[in-house]
Amino acid sequence: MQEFIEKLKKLKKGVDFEHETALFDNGLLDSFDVIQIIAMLDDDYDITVPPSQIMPVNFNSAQAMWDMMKRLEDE
Amino acid sequence: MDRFEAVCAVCAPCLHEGRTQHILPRNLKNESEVISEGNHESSNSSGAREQRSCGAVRGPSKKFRVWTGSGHKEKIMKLKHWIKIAVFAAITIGVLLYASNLLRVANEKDAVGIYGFYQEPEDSLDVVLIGSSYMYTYFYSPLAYEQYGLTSYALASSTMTAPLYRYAAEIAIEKQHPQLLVFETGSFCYDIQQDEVSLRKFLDALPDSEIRTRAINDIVPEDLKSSFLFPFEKYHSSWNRIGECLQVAQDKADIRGKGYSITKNYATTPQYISYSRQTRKYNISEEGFKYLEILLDYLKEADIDNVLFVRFPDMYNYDVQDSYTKMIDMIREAGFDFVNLAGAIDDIGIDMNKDFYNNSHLNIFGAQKFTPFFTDYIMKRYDISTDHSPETDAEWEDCASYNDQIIANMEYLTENKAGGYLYTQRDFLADYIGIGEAS
Amino acid sequence: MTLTSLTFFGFVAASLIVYYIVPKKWRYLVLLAASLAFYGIVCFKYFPFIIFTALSTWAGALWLDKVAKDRKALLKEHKAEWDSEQKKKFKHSTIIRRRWILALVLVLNFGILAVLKYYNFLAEWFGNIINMQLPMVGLLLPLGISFYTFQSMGYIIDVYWEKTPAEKNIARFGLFATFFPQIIQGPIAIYSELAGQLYEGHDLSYENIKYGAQLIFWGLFKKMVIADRLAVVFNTLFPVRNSLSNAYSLLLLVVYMVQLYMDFSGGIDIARGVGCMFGINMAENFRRPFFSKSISEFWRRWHISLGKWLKTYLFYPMAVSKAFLRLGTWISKRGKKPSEEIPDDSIWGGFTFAQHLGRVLPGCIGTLITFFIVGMWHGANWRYAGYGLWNGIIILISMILEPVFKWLLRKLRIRVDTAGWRVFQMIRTAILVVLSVVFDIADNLADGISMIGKCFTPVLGPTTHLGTEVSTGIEAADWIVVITGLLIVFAVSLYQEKTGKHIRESLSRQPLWIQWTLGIGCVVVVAILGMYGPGVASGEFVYMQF
Repeated sequence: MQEFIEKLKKLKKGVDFEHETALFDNGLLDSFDVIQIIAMLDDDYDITVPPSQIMPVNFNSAQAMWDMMKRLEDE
Repeated sequence: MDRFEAVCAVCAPCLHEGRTQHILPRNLKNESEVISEGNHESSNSSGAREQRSCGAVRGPSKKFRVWTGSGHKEKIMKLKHWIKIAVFAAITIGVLLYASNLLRVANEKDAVGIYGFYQEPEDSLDVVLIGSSYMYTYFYSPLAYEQYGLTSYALASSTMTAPLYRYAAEIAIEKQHPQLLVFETGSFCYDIQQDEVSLRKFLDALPDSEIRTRAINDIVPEDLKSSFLFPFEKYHSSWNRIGECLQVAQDKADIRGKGYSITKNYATTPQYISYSRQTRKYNISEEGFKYLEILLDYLKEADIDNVLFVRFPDMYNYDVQDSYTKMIDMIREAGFDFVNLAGAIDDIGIDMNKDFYNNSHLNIFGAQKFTPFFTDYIMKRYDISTDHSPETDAEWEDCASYNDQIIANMEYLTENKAGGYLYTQRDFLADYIGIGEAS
Repeated sequence: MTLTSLTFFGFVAASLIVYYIVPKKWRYLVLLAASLAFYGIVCFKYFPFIIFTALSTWAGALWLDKVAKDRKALLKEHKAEWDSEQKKKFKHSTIIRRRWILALVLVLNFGILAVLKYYNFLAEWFGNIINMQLPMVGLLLPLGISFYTFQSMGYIIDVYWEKTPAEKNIARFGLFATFFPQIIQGPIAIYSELAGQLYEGHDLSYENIKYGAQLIFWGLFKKMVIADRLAVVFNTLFPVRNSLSNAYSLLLLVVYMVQLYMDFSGGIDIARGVGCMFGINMAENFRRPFFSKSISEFWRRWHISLGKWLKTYLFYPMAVSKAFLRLGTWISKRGKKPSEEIPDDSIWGGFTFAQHLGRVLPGCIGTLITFFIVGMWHGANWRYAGYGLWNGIIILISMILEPVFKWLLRKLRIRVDTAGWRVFQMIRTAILVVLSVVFDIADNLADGISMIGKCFTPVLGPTTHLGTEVSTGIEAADWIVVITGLLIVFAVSLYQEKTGKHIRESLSRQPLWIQWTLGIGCVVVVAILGMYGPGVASGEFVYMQF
């Protein structure tokens, strides 16, 4: 998880991924950032995020993203 | 962060205005396992904080579903709410009605003049004059009273057209049962009798009443009816003439305060022009005959003894058509009278270079000559009694007491060609000459 | 029956009465009946179209769910027997089948929309290419087809993605597909947000009635007092748009934009107010768009429901598709591999140019395509395509050059966290938005460019080059009304922007006499200053002498 947060930090500078819980709702991440995160998940973790999962709830915090990844892996 | 809090991040939408609840999947309880449930605080649609229930479930496909319940009771309508709504509505409608009345001014002078007619005590008028601007510029009622003891009123509006005559007659008879009705015949020459502006100048000045509604349904063209029956539709846009409307309201208030109008719809422009000889036709139109017939039919059945149709004199030289004679015949056949005053300029004593303020209207000088002439004529021709109740005489004595002041004012202004616009009661009483304001 | 007509409000009042009399569990049926009646009254000829969309979507969604359910059941049944290879094949076949079902519904319904809306446009364009005169068709559009089609298609895509279960009850779904307050100008609703509220019978709540009425009158104020007045100005200046002087040219654009905003957002307020009275909270469509600091943000605050729909169902699926992701990766790898770590404050923000481009390009292409669609959604005309692309290209350029701008600002030592900078951004965005209006107004590219040029050199003078006076179409008193109205709207927007709350909350805390004065005042202002009724020219009543 920590590694994941490091990658996020590299992707988007200046955002507190450790503690923020309203990343998307507060505008800290925009749609371009979400695309890049998904690209990163595809490249580095080999996880395909289907469009149906692109919801604020799944991207509002690093933990939420992590949970989503776990769920997608299970399938 | 435990699972529950992660779930409540979903309720983030609740924190934004506008969401009361999410859909509750119907297979929730059956197929899914409830992971967590609880309450949290969020804002409802009106922004107030409240408790909401929410939870997280895991469906059989392991897909994450969340649900929230509304968990709060919206304020249900009680009696006190109904009362509030009713009172609010009542006040609003009241304000709108007031505004509607205030803004319903097609022509300032007519609005006040006709209002004044309705203020006159019932059955106090001997003569009612019905027609267009001839009636209220040629004839000065308080002067007729001063000189002959005759009470009269010009129930007339600017450019009044023939279809309105029958209804004006009905109003006059119903309210005053006058001994004589006088009509002017010029209106029958008009081509477009249902000209909207002319209709409005009279009809919108009438108070809402059964006869007004009847007149509208009879005369007004279909496509305009609704804006006559509901004048607000038209007059709301008069807000940018609010100054004029307030002036009219003030004038009406003055009349109400005194109990009656002082100058009885008289109006004039203080100037004189020199004689210019222009010719025009005097021809009764098809429509004119139609409305004349309607009027005559009505008058035959109505409670009125004496009716006089008058052709008024003015500066024009008229090329009189055959229809004119036909009209006179129609009037006489119905049992009513006609008199042509166009040829009586000399008898009246009118000075063509001093007594007109435009081609077809006498000024104060002309009115002072016409009024006694005409009053004398009708009193000789008809057996008009000038017995009135003491209240009526008192009212008219009072009105006549202003005559000298008013006439002096207007003569002064007319001599100096002050001109400009049509003067009415509120203008007459100001202090122009410095002998003190007539109050 | 437009949103500002007495007939409409009469209809709403009647529907409200029936709604609250009927027992709660049947209240949604009242809404359905009202929606069908509304559509029938306003647009009877095209009634079959909306029914077709509703039915085909409802049936298609059920079919999708059935396939998914069967798949689960069969997988469970054969859990032991099948190996993973067989399971995968089976799953794949059901996915293919579901894809076909979805495609069928989408093609049918979007096809209808495409044909009705774009046939003439395409025929003309294609005809020019092959040098033939293709037949034109005299087709009118069913009311709200762009809105209800998108709304229903969003639903079936959600079902396909298994984000929401299919609605079995045809009456319930029919209501979602035809809900009447939304049919005229939207907003386009998301099923999961709206459906629950629609189906649940609501209590007659004083708050709902009160807030609904407030919203409605606020909307009427914006539309009838401000927008309709500016419409007169627009109709006066538009015919002479090519010969206007610079200042009046600018005025024309600004008036058009402001009128459009007041008209559209006013209409939305009325629709939402009606929904609120039924206890239903419809999605916001405008969130004070002129406080936007960028064009991207503008489209999150203007016509929100359309942007959201396209983002959810077009943009994201495109941008995270394998093709796009691969493209991004490929571009990233094109450039020279950096020999050392690139500092964060370098010109491309810590990446090589190729890396940066690879990161933003999928999104940019997706944005361009999406905004092209946004443009075309507005109408079948190249000018609308241009309008969409104008927005798309601005965003594209700003995304690609974003790190460069940041670098520049740092070098010039300009602080970006000040109020002054934010205001600058808002003004800059507003200017870009106003200029985009040129696409609607200018006849061709040359005229458009000349119009924009004029705006940057505003010169007050005679209103036309020919020196003839052109009035604005309304009087000074009317301009005072417009400006005052806009100031009021601005003040309310500022309050909402700063506090994030609706003004109605603050209002409900005020003493009763203030609330009532404002309320009665608002109604009276709309009734008197609204632009309706016969001839609003004040010079009509002149003392006419016979």
